[in-house]
Amino acid sequence: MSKRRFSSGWTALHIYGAAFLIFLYAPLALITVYSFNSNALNMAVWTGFTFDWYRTLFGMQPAGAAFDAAFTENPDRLLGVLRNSLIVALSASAISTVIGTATALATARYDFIGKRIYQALLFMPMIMPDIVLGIALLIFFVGVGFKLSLATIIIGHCTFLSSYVYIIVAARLAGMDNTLEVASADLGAGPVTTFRRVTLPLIMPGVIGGFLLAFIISLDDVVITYFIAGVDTQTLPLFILAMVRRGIRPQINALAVLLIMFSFVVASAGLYFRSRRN
Amino acid sequence: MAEGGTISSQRRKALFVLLTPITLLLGAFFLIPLGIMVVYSFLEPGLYGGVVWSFYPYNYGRIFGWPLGGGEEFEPLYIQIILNSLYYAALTVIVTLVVCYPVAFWVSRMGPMAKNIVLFAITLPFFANLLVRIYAWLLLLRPTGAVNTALMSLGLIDQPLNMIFTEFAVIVGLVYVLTPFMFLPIYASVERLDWSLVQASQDLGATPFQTFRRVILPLTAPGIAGGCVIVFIPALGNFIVPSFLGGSKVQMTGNVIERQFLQARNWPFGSTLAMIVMASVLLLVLAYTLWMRRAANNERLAGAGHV
Amino acid sequence: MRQVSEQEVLRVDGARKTFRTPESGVVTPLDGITLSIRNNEFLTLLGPSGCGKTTLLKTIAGFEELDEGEIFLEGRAMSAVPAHRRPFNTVFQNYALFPHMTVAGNVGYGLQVAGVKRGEETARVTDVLRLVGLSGLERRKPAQLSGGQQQRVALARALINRPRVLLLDESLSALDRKLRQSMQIELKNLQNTVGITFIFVTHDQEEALTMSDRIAVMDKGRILQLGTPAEIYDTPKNRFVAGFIGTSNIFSGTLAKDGGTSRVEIESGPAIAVTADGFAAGDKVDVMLRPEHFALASGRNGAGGSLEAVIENIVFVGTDLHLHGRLANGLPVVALERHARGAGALSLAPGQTVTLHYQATAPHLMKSQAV
Repeated sequence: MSKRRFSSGWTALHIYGAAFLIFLYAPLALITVYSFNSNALNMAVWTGFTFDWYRTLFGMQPAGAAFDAAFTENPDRLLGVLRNSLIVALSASAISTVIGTATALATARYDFIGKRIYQALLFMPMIMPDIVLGIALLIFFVGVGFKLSLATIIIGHCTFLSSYVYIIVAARLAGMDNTLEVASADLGAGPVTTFRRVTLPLIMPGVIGGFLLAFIISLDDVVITYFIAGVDTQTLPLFILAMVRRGIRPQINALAVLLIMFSFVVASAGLYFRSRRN
Repeated sequence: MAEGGTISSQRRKALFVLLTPITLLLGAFFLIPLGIMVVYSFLEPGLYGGVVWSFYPYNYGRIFGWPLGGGEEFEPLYIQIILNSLYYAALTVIVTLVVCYPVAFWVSRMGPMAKNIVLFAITLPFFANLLVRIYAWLLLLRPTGAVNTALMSLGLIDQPLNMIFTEFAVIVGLVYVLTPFMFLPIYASVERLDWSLVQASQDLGATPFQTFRRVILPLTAPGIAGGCVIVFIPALGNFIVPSFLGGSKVQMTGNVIERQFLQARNWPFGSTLAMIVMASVLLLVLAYTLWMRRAANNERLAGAGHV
Repeated sequence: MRQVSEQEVLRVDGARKTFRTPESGVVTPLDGITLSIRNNEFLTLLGPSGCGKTTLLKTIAGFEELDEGEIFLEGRAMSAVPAHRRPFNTVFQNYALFPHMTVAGNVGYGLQVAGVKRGEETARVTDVLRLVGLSGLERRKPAQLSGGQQQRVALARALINRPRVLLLDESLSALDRKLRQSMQIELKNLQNTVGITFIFVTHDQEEALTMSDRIAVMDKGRILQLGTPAEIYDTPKNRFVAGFIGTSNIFSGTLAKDGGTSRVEIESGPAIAVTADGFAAGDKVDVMLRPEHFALASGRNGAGGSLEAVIENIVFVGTDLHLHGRLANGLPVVALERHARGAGALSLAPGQTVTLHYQATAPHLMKSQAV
């Protein structure tokens, strides 16, 4: 009797949990379905399967019924924006990985005056609301005469990505047995050799995971980029923002789906590396 | 000792190499910009954008009604918007908390395999582009959107429900975007919860509700507090969600700041509003840190007495 | 002083439970257990880990459900009663003290949730803390206590509700050896004072022998033997029980009867003279000889027998010498010799052949287990 009482609570929790997962994924699934719907006028009504929205995204003419030219994007612009986004995300995450890892090594392996201040400071960019960081950087760059460009975006991203990498790598270092490093030194290896042969291989999954997650956060960043991109530099999220502001059109769905898929693949790899044990 | 000297100078060199990059990065591109922003909030806006370098506290007067001067007038609208933002952020915290708490228990009671899969599934949407996630709700909630179309074709309603550009839409959007931030810290504390304590409570005669209130809730409180803080902060400063889902009807402080910078070009006033957001955030984080430190101190004190 | 009566307080009737685990398929921690627990007794469930003893305790407490069978408290079926309404309290293996409450908060918890008035609660908390010797520590948090003190808080917390039965789940195993031994005696004394039925789960046979009125030896979800410590020690039912409790020499063989005398023929080895009531010639049997049943000097009368063994190792443990040797056929044997100051014991050395004498009543016969 009480067995049934226990399991009925468990069943309710299962239903609740499933509903939660549906809540998380239904909106993304909806965009995906819409992106294949040939109905150009009302996405909510299914009129047939099409690749047209993906084709127009790359400047190809729709294969189906004739459409207004407005449905076709300029492929050069999209490719340019994509190139910008990749340059920013790769540079910013690479720089942040180096800086974040170096900082994690310092706080994990050394005691120094002001260590707690550093640790607190590293949390600040993550808790600072994006809009505050965005406008502060905007005022700064304009004030000191930096021309808003890809470079300012990269610098801006580094300020908060370094903290993400730091936290991931520091967590890995904390879980690592530092007697291994002592053992290496005991066997006659110098600090550089110890780092290269012992420490680095051991924290490598954390470093790779940090890099991939930083990459995807950079690629997806809207708010900070929005303020420091300047007028003639666009990244992919800003491009989408502009598209949505011009009005909801079906090829936004196609672009959104491509972006989701890409983010999911990179983030999955990042999460995998972050959680991997030696 | 010569040897000790070598080691400590080596150590200093290593620390210098490791810490210089982060010091330069956060010093030059985080602390200084924030400092300049603070300075800007006390400067006079120039006529066509830009600033006049004179002490000008009246940006604050425009918001709080004091000090006034320099032609600034008290505009209660801004207090209203700030209070609204606090209210939306608080509501978002409450909803995400209520949504995530049972899910954390659901996941924590799973087998290791299922647990990993579900945790992954819950974390993943966080990495989907923010705009795309909000845009999806635009597709769901607008008059010709999926929800209205479904309800009308089922015959449940005749007229589309007015959901988009409402408080409801903004809260749904904020909840959707920030749910992972609430879930992860709560889950961490639920996972750490020692189930023998729950059994002990039952064993001593506590009803399920008493067990929840007196054992489970206090022991998962750190996770709840952490989740609340890290949901509240991005909710408070958000401007993408209200601008997509709130339209012109629902405004948050973030929207006003954005307009001051990119349209009105009154940077000092925008900085003042940003200062208020930043100050609220710092106060909240400070309170949280002090609370956590007190708890940790208690534990350390306790640990010292452990034999 | 408490009186153990024959009156039954708790009855486990045909308890059966199976789990399905992802790794090893089906596990049966309770395979048809029937057990009657007497009022005010100290009953120990003893067995190796995985024998089902903790599962049995948890089903009594109400944390787990039985697949089949029933638990009766004074004739009343318990399966429909949730854990928080059962008049049993548990001392958990890790104590499960609420880390966010003080000692007084932990101990008073059961009274608070039952709605007992503040004044009475304070008085009873003070009383029970005095009983376990923790007066003055009311305001401490559990983490500020030593292991032994935590153990006492857990005891006090479980006792304050005046349960019909107190369940103790490996409650001493987290303590170090010295503390464990003194707690064993204290726990026994405490039970004498409060007069509550104790069901104690342990894998430690020494603990079981020290404290229990009766011991139930369990293995693979079954009770192999239920009896007083002396019964279990002297007359184990089978090889498993004999091996689990104390040190023993167990030899397998065939019973042979020869007029008035019986002996067990060990394969390619010596015969052991036994008294064999209830066994027939030709039975496959196990014969047990405790190490202390051997003596290097032969007995006053000739009744009994002896075994020749080569000493391989001598272990000095203070009061005794443990002689580890081998019989001619290679079987290991352990004998115990009281340590006496003087030359007698010291003259023993590895490699030496000794004669181990035993009394006729010493060997204990058990039915051979079909393995």
